[in-house]
Amino acid sequence: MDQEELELIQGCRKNHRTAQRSVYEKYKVAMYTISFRITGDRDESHDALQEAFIEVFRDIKDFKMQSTLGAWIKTIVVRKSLRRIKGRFDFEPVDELNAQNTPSVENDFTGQELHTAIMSLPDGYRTIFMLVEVEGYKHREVSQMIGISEGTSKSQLYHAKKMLQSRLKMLIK
Amino acid sequence: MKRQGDINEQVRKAMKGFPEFEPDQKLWTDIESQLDFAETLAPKLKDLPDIHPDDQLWNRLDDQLIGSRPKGKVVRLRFGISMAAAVALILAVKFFAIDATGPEQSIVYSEEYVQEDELEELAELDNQAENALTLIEERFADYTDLEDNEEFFELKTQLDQVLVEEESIKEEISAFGRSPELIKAQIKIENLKSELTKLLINMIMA
Repeated sequence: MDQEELELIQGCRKNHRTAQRSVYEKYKVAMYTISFRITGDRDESHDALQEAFIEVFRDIKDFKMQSTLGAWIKTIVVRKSLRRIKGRFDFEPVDELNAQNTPSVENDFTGQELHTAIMSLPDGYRTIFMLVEVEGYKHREVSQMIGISEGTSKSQLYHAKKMLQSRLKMLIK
Repeated sequence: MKRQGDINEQVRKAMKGFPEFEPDQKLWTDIESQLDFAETLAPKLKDLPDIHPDDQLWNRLDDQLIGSRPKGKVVRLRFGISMAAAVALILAVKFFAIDATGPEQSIVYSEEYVQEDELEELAELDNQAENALTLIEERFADYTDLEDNEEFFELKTQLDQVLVEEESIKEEISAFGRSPELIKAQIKIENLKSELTKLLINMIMA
């Protein structure tokens, strides 16, 4: 943890608004991006982020500094975002996946096209794909966060990737 | 009656003769396609675009940090302060009245709407900080023997420098706005001031 981050944490612990604002400015884009890719909804993500930062500033006195500040904030943002969409998860494979062959995808798709394809996935698939592939969580962690079995997490990721492949193919045709 | 061991042996033998089943030929194509996709996907994940929150989010957060703001009301000044303000106003009016030959002047005043308990809380914090600084100043003035209190003097000198620096940063912020560099410097100096004040108070209380 660098000196600047330590000073920000100290400032936040003393409830200095300038330090709180600096922490918010430093992490807002990364955290909003994660939240938006989980919820798929800008308003939900604004609310999730608002709740998350309030919790961050309230609980920063208990932050043990065993991880970076960013990693700690991320766990709170992910938890708040998941809580908002848990009821919308549907982990049943959809018909689109029953197609025998998943079309192969050319290498020339852009980050924006990939983003569009990810955002077109159903909530459950998108969330698990995001948490495992983009954010690097383990299936064990995802299963605890969402309240599903590790096996379900793995199978949903498999289906999510197949559907993503199919959506990308349609997108860049 | 056959023993359980014999039955198990028969089952093992029968299992060796189990028929085999060929998977659909398309299966490898599917696996290969997924392997290719995984290879293609991994480097593309870093190209995913960032998404920016609404600019109003901090304002919502700020409101919540302060607490819900009920409609503000005018804070009534205490009698003594009211008198002081009245005297200041009279002096100001006299000053402008005497300088009648100067450029045209106008006096503009406004009322600040603030939440009363918020004011009290802020005033309390300010008072505590002010009291701590006053206590340090008093103790500093009492000390005559530098050698016995070398550490105290050193910390007090540092605190004085920090206070000067704090004022200078405040002036820069009011002149140039809240640039990230100035805000960083302000956080740093506020933390340092708190630390030094705490150390000095601990030394006084010891």
